[in-house]
Amino acid sequence: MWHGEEARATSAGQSTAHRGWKLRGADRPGSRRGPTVRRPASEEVPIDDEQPSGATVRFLPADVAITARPGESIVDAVRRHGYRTRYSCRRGGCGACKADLVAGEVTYDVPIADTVLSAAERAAGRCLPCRAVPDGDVVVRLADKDRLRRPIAFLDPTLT
Amino acid sequence: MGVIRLGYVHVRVSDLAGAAEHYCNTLGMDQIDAADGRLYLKSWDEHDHHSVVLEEGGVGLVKLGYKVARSADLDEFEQRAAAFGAHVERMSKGDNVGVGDGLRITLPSDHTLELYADVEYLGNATGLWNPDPWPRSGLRGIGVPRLDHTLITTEDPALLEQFFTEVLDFRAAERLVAGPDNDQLVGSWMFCGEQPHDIAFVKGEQAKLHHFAYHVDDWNSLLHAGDVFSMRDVPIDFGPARHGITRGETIYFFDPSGNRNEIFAGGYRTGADFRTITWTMDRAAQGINYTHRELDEDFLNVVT
Repeated sequence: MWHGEEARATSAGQSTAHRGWKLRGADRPGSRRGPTVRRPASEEVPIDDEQPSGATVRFLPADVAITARPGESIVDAVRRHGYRTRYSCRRGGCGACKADLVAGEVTYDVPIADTVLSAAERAAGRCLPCRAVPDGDVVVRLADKDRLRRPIAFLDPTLT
Repeated sequence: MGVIRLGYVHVRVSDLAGAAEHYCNTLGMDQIDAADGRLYLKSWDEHDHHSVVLEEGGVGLVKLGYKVARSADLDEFEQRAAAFGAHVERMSKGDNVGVGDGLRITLPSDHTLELYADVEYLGNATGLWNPDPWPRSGLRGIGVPRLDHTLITTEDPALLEQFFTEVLDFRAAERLVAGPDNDQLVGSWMFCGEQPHDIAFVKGEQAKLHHFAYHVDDWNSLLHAGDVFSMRDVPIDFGPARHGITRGETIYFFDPSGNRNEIFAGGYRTGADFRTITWTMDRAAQGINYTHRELDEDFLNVVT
């Protein structure tokens, strides 16, 4: 059942122009102000991400990609897209969200205590998604017991 | 003779400005002093110089301060702590801004505990003559009135309980026990006055902070705190809910560095004749979260 959810989420991620209530007036399905326009693939960025310069965050092993706004942490982007991963303090203090940064670079807007994420861990490619801001596209592998969930998906008609 | 209360909690914060915003504007504490990368804060209904110290760099607990009734008590506590085998040294006036001479003890849990009687008196926000029930000038954010207790972790709860009992005259209000004969101590909630707890500890890593708590009047205040946290996007751990242990009402949340805080209300009254309550592991979830009877393992594992 879980894999089905992931597949659905991936599919939704690939057609983000149909993400329901956040579409702007003229693009909204059924809008009287204009027809629904199928965007070319090159323009398929989430329309609720008002700054198209945002980075793509791809999660493994689910292989789901979301877009993070400039300056937005990975966990904040996860939450904004309706997903959940394992995190606790969301402030870089507890390490519950610690994951592998498989590709790309991240920066931290606030200092992260060495007791939470040591220099050796950073060098080994570990990151703290709750405070990590993607600097360009990134790929993140969640910890073994962590998984990407989308608890609200069943309520969103554009995701079914 | 005796320990009066938790006087101050000194914590590390990764970002001093962000921490100041949280503790002063979300919780409503007042900044009393700033020196050497440290901020000294006081809640409106507290009288002594400060109750929270924020130190820039890292995360977690630096030390706890407990106020004792008289300076002469320090001699007795020093002898007892040394006899117990704890490392104890004298601290000097000025080691902590506003705090006088005292003792600095390394607990069996590797936490640093300071005892003092002499501390600069500033008075609360409503005064001692014909006071208003709360400050006329208003409160910021939640407007926490005072610090309440702290919960720390230790590899050997039984040894730490023995220390607080024998050296500092604390008593256990409630104990969480494990094992076929319910004789293995997992956690202890101890008091020095008439609160349900002034310090608590559960089994875990040495020298770590689980949370420190502020007191508020009632359940409505807790719900209001929850509203403020949502408005200001403060991460919630759990609550509002009732604790089985202490019978208190609670909401747990995190400061901008990830240190866990709690707003606590209610609870019963203890005292010298209070008989210890026991919780067993099969009911531990109810003991900690009486309302939901479920525990997120991160609530137990996440410490700073």
